[in-house]
Amino acid sequence: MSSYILRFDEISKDDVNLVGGKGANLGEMTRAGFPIPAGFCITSNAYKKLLSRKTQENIAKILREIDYDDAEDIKIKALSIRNIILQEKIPDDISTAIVNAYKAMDKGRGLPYVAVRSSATAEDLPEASFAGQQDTYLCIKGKEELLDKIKQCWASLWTDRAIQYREKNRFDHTKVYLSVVVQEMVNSEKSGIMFTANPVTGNRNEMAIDASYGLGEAIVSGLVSPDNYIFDKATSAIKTKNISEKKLKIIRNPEAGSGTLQLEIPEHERNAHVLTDKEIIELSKMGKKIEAHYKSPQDIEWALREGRFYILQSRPITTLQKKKRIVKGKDIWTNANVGEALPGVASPLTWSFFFSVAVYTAKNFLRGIGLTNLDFVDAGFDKIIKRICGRVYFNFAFIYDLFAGMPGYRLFKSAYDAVMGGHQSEIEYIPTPQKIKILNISTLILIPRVMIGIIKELRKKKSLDKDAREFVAYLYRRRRELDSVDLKLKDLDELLSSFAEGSHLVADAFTIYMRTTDQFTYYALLGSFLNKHLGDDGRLRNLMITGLEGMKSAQPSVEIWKLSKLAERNPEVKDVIINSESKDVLEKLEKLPQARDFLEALNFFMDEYGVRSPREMEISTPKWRENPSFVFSTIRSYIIAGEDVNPIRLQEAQRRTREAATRDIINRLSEGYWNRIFPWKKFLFDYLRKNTQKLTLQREYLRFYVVMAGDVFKKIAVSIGRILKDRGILGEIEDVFFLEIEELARIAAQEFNLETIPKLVKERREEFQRFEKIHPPDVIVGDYTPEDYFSELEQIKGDILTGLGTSPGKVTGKARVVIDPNNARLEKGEILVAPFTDPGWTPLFITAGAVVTDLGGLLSHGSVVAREYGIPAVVNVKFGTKVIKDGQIVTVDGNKGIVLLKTSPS
Amino acid sequence: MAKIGVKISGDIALVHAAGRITLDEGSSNLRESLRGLIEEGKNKIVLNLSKVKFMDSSGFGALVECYTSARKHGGDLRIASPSFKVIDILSLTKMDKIIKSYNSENEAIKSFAK
Repeated sequence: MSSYILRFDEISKDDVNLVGGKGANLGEMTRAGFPIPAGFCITSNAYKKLLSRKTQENIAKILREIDYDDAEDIKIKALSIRNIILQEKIPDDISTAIVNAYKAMDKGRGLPYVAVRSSATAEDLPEASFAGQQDTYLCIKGKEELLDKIKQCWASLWTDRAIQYREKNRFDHTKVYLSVVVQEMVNSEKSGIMFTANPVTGNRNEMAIDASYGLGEAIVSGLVSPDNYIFDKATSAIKTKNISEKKLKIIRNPEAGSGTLQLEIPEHERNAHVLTDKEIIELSKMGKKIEAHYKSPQDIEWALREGRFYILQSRPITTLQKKKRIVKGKDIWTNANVGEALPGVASPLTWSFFFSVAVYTAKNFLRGIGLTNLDFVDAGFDKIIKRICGRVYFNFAFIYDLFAGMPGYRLFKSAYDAVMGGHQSEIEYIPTPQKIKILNISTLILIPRVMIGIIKELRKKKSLDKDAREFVAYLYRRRRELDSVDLKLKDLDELLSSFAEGSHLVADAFTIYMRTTDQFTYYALLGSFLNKHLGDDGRLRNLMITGLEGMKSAQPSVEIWKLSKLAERNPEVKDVIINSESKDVLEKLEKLPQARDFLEALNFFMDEYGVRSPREMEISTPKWRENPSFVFSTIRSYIIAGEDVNPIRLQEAQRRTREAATRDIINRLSEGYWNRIFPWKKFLFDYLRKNTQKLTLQREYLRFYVVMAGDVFKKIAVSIGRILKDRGILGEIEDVFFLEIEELARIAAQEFNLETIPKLVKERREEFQRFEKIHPPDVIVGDYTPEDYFSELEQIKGDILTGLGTSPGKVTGKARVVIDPNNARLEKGEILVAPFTDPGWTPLFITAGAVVTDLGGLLSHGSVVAREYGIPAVVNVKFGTKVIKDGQIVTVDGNKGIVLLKTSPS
Repeated sequence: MAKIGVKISGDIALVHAAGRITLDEGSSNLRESLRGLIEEGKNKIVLNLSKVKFMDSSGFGALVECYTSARKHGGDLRIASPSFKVIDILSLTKMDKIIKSYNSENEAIKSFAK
């Protein structure tokens, strides 16, 4: 046997370099004794030999000339490379070896039909995924036909998509090879796919089998809706059978001698069960064995012919919630939760300020519990928060380490994971409990002090209401006073005190906001209580915080709705809003005498809510008061959609639903004699519910004032920017956001060399733009190297996006992928697909039929508001904005936490 | 309540602040005392903050305003023995990189001699 050919039984899993992932896997399973149809692989050596030196040079030359910005050019060059390969004559020794191996498959019944598939491999990255190179030729028969298809497989390494993919991921084109798998074709009567874990729910105790008639291609290509069976692994019972109408099947083409054709299934067979119970059980057993062999859930292609099952392929299920990855002694960086507050690349000013405020808040807390020496906070805070490619990440390992060993750690961790969202729940972190060197020598003396401090902190919780009210009153007052000073008239040094005061104000707001973090604890406890006593899957828990009266984040919608009513009563104003570009509306209204009342109301609105914006914690984003386009386009969609989307009525309806659910829960908890005599369940429920509701309201309320304080600070930063621009140091005022907080302080104090600023700004702007093109994942273990993560997007397969269902219901509709809410228009019932959402997005929820976000958790903005409006939400789907096409029809299932990308017409 | 005490020693004004320096309680007090000193030409100021329990943003704003004013008049405002509260605020606002502070009153006074 030459090194060009390896039979399946000669291949092991270590031969990936020679036969690619697919080939190695078939070898592995053949050796393990699974019923794999016989076959062989043409190794990558054959491909290497095929390319003579001259051919390689020719290809390299074409590659050098490709203009990667020109899709058309890539297509043309790809075609010419494929032509070169198709023109090559297969060296005699290779073709002889192939033909011999093929002939050896003849078991006395003539040359068999085979399937020819490509199996790519790269020298450096044997396990990398290679999208777009999955060429498959079915039912091939005869030597010439076979050699021809093998060549086509080789050429498929050079499709335009494959070239682009390698270029994007910086694979060396000359180090990617191709092996070809030739496998006997099972002319199956029935076939399908088996998942050894439920791919929809992620339940590892269940298997799911899809089955249809004829060859498996019918299911793989989405031609038919197969039967679906769910099988319980533990009890070996068939749990559910969903029988579909199977109209078509794909079979071997009997006339042409090779290839396939589609055939209609006779009417009376269409709704029959494809597999019998006995067959389901037999297949499941095989599935269990394969899963045990690979030690991970598998996605298996199977075929049934003449009463015998064959396994055609098995791969790990990648879309399934991954088996927990065990991490020890490494940092876990996540931006799932921070990402919602500060999504995207943070400007240097936002980042440096945020960091500074976070350090201050942490110190404040630690001082509150009696610690005095806090140098370790300054020294080590970048181990807790840092930037990765410009985005803010938070180290979870630190928190786990801190709490490990304390009572209630497990509850804390599971609650934290669930509520925070993100993919850290896929990680099993083994914490290293913190040595208490924080407290060093005086530990013993400190202990009583810290105890007293903790008690004092707990007592402070009670005063949160009062403190919040006082702070908010203070903020309004200071804001008014600071606003009354015309910052434009001030010189740099006079701005120093405003700057100091403004930053202090934001830190105060943030500190009091952080005191509502307890909300997570109550929310998690309420969830486990309802789950334990009523078997709630989260739906009831979520309902408890919908339609709450006085929800600050829902208020802008109500106010904008009122503005739309006002506009409707004024035909001139209405005309301008409906028929002008959003960006021109304000200017036109200002020229319109009839618009005076409306503008007065608008100003009143802006005075309070104008501080909002998308990405509201990012200082550089224009606020509504600076760019009112979003407000006008929302008014417009309210006018068009009418009473159906009245947010006041929607909230009212939600409130009634919540109250009905509350009564129902109380009734259920009061069932039975003892529960009536000792209604402790009811009392505990009320206690948890009320605290959760109260803290939810408080959190949303205080978050608004963090933003308002941030806006005060922004005005001061902009004033510094204006002075620097007037002096010719900055090109534009917005450049000021590319300076760090300490630099601004030094500039205002006249202790900064202003000449260095233009270069600083230029470099940081460039860095900012570079970072915007990189998309790091939401959870990073250890250090981030983009190469380790590139293939995540490519791993998505099938038509399901899995995320976290945070608001119940199932809706099918047209997807609207929105990156910038300022330019978005959402027709009623359309599905909002967004990278994340924050209060600046809220008005879009009014017309949305459902919401899908890349980031998020149970308590993130999108989830909270979706529940508020009673529309389904699936968050944390990672790639929604990348995979879902604008205008595509999708189904959002908030109960199961999935988004179906292919929706059957029914 | 905020208490402001002033002592003059040579060309240096020693100011003791204690209690809460806030919008309602002490910030205008502090501002006026310091402003008065600067107007009298006593613009080398040591501000002892060891007894300050609480300082809100407006109180802190007043402090920085007086620093700027003292500098403008050719003097300086230096902080002596700041409480933890004050230390944290100084580093939050990055004023620790701008306003000089010393562990003790003596050190602060001596620093003007250099």
